[in-house]
Amino acid sequence: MIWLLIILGKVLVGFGGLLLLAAYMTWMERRVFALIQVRVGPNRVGPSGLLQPIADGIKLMFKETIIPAQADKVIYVLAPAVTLIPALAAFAVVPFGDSVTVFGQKVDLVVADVNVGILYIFAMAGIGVYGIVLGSWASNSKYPLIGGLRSAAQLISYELSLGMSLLGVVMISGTLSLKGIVEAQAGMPYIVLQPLGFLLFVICMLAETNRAPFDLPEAESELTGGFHTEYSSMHFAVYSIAEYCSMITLSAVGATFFLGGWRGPLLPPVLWFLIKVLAFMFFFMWLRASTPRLRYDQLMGFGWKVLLPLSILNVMLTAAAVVFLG
Amino acid sequence: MASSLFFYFLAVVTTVGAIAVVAFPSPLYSVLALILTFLGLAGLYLSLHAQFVAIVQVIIYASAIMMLFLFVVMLINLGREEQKELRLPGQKMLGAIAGLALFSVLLKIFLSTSLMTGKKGSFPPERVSELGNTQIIGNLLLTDYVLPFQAMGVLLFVGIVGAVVLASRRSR
Repeated sequence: MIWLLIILGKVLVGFGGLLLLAAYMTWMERRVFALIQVRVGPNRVGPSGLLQPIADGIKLMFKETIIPAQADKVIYVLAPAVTLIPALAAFAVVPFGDSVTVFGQKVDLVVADVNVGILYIFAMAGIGVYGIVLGSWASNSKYPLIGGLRSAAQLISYELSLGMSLLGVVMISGTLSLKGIVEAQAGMPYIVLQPLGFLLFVICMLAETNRAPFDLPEAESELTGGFHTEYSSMHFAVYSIAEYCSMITLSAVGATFFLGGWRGPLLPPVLWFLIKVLAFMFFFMWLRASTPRLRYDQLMGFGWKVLLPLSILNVMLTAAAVVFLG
Repeated sequence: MASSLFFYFLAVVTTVGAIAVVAFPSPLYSVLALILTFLGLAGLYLSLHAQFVAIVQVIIYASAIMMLFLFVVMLINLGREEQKELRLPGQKMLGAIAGLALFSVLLKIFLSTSLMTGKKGSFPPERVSELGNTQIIGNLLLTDYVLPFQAMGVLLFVGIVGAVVLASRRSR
């Protein structure tokens, strides 16, 4: 009985926390944006505008859902969920703290410690792409279709380099489980051993989450918003939440693989984990406010001709180092 | 008990998905049904404690390959009339014959292995969970099965070269 409660508790804390964090990322993004552009940003609802995400959520919930007349209704309605569910599920394998003792039971602060953890995250990311592609197709409109195709091509291209950039860490630690990787970083974080891997990961992470300067699928100036052009009210909100969730998950993966996860001096582990994730998120926002968008052929060329060879080089160097230096 | 319920659920998902692939009139829905089938198969692998195979099934089949299928279907966007023109005479008959032939070959292979006798192979679940799923596959690929592994690599390489040649010829 107690183990069922523990699992339920983990699921609630993990996913509830993720959704809450995703909602507050919209607030943080707008505040950081305003800060960089010397504006004030949302500050009316609650202290410092802290209730703004809740107000936005209520507003979106009560808006009318508009489905285009020629749309494929079933797929149109299902597509946002197809993006959100994998984005939430991917977070399940990320350890967000050290083990704690609840009711005399030792509980690891991870929803599910899977022994193929990082591959599982990639599988979920791969399924999530369908939501974008199907939503864009079901809208039966030109701009979303172009946005959706761009997005799918971009995600597939950069997923390869993303996986390769993490392979170095997997080789050094000898495990695919994220909990095992945090345990292996007791001495020092892997950013010291894998600086190139870290750099490649950060670049691919931006492309994987459709963020600036790789946000071509949503290029407002040419595609009027990309794959979610036709979406309104809660369906749009679900897409947006899914995007923030996958940003948080990838930030958490970055923190786990290169920065030592929840490890850190003085402060409690969960807090350290949050600080590291938020640092990644701040970096996302900072970049979006200060970089122009790439051209599409530049984006593809950069992914295949620069990032992929570099990540393969990183894997080969790491393999040689692991074999010859132990 | 729970695991057999899990099995029946996944078996239904897989089979219904597979039937739906041929039953749907719209090719896009067929692709979606095929994705469902692959996800069901991944679930079945999971229930056999083959986590690595399950995840690879999702990454490669359910996401990468089916995404290409989806691309093609979306870009060609077949209407009903065009579909009719594409039909060969006697297509159903030929399809049934090819299907039966493939099925009989698969049945023969299935019956000739020791799968039905209930004998355990050299890697029963206990040993797999002890050594680690991914580690066993990695070791076997680079020791016992290194020749097929390398041959597969050469085959894929030939495919890549062919694709590059075809693509560059058209652009000239």
